[in-house]
Amino acid sequence: MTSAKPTSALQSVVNDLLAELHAKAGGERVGLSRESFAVVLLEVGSKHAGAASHSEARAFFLSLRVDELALARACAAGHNAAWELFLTRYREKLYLAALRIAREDSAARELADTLYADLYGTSTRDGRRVSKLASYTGRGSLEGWLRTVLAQEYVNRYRRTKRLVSLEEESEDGVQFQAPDPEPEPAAASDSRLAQATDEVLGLLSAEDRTVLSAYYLDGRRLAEIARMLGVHESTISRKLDKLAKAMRKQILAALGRRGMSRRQAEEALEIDVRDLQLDIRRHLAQESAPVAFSEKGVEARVREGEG
Amino acid sequence: MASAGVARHPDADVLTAFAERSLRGLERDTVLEHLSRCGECREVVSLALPASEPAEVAVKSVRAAWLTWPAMRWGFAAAGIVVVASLAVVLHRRQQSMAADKTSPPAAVSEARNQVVPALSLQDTEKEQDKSKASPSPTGSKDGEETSRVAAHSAHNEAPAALAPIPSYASRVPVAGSLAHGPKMGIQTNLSNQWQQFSANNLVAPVRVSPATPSAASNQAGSDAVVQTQAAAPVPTADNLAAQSQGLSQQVPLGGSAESKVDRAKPLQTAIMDNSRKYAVGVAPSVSRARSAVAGAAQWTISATGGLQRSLDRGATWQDVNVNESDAPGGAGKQQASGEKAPAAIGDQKQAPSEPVFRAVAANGPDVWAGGANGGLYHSVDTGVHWTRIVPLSSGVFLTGDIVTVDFPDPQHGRIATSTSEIWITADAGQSWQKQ
Repeated sequence: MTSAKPTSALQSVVNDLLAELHAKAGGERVGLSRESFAVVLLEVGSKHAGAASHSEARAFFLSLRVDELALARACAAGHNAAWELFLTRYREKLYLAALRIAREDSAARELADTLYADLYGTSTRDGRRVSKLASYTGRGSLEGWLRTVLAQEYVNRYRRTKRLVSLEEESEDGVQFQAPDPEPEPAAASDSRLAQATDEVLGLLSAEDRTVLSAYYLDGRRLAEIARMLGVHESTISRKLDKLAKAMRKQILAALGRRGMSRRQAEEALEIDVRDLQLDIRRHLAQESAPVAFSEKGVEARVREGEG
Repeated sequence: MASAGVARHPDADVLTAFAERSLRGLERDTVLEHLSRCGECREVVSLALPASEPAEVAVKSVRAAWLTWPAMRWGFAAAGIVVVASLAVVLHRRQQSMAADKTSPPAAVSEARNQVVPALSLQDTEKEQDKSKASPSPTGSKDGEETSRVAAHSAHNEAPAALAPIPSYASRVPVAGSLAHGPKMGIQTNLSNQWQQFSANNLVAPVRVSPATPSAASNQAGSDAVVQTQAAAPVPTADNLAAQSQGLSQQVPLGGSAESKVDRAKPLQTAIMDNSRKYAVGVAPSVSRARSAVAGAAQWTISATGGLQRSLDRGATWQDVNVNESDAPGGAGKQQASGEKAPAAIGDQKQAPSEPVFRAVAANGPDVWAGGANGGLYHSVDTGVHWTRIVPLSSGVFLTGDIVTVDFPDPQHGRIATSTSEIWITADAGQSWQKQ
């Protein structure tokens, strides 16, 4: 992790708030000196608030979870007291989070143990122990950070495993002899206008709307899951999807009209049924990375069930 | 400021801050933009959510779902329907009650005819009559007074519990029954007007069962010989009696020879007490729904010995009713519809009538007709508290035969059959008769 050079504003703010933040963090208790803590603060500030003004930097530092930041950084530095405190607070929580992610005890223990090793810093770099806890910046809770790290590890591990296993399984199953799955017929000439109109409409949507659509139509997630991800109520997501579907239909019809289609032609092209729209959405929601492999089957099943 | 660009996956810190809603503004939008394009990061964010959040969010969402407009609009609609239905029911019931109130005056008038006068309990009056048999004629006002006083007291004590105190306004209600019988009075629906009219007409002495001075009946101005009532308003309580007596400025004396005069100065209560064993002090002018209820619940029968019996508790117990009439054939007579004055039959009575032997009884609520031997026909409009001897007269011929059947399908229309196969019919509650 490279960090930019701290600006003078950041330096000034850190100097102003160091005593307060160090006391608040309980640095002495975890064996983190004020000077070391100042270094940590400057690092974090440079990474996330490098271009912030004095007031913005001040607000940024005050929003940090400095107590957890100090603990994590003290653990990363190898302070035994901090590590004991960390294990006391988070050992059980880490295992439960791994169990919830992996949904299986052995996999959960393996996942948790792997993370513990990374957190402790079994690997070294330039003779120095490298701990994953050194990457914690205190913007979110340490517990949440640990869950996120676990999830990332799990996703990476599953992707690697799936890629390795699927080829062997497909060979055994005779996949190479399998007829290709019938894909929906490619869009006709008129459908190209539909694709263009769909792309145009999707591009005009906000990031949050596209995230909701992607999570719903691509990932096949339920409304409750999407609501939790975005920190809103499930009914909010439900209403948003309804509004989006109706609004997109209108906008696509209008876009098709601008592309020379009559109202009737546009409706026929769109087939009126909003559920058909999801196929276009899936096709046109630009993805930098596909949904995680292990969830694709679930997506297909839900699509076939006619969700949306 | 944003460290997580579209091309680069946000680090765990940023994703955690995003999941915990610690990111604001542009930084959050940047992460959202990445999440809209990166399935892996969406998966990571989903997996990293704490386990406790789903229940809370679900509960909140359910709770919110109930409180959302689409759900609440139906609640509002249902509430509106309930309110409208409730108003409709209330208005309907109010209309019904108003309609019932409108029809109640006639009923109240009929009820006034059937007021139970506790001061004149027939049963106690009979007892006192036994005591005062040595003085058959109630000429002695003192004896009659004492008898009436005792009777009144006894009757008061014996007032059925069901007879609730009558409202004060009812005390001014004249007896519709009597008015109905009186040729000059008709059944009025307006009770206050009825009372005023009654007072103005100065109805005189009621029917006497004991021999009274001939002048007593003659003083009756255009009144039915068989029916004289007074707008008395006795109520089961002494207070009501006093109140009603104050409300009645003109009362008919009810006892002895002096009873023939209208003692306008006497309070009602005194007038009642002055009555010498007279049951016909008049129907209380009060309108009591409780009394009408009692009246409507009364049952009648004829005992094996020809006595008239009444039950006020649906046959659980029976009381002997003494009509105590003393009419003699040829004496009393009912005024014909033509308005002909009836002979002073009442005044001619000199002896206490013997207890009639009844053969038939018919009742329409408080309106009771009982007929028996020797043309004995009695009518009560107050469930048997007061009785009037009726002597049907048609074309100069009195009904003298033994009455074997009495049929009154309603208070106005009646049919009497005698042992001699005579049929007597009335269409005006006994004011006039026609022999067939």
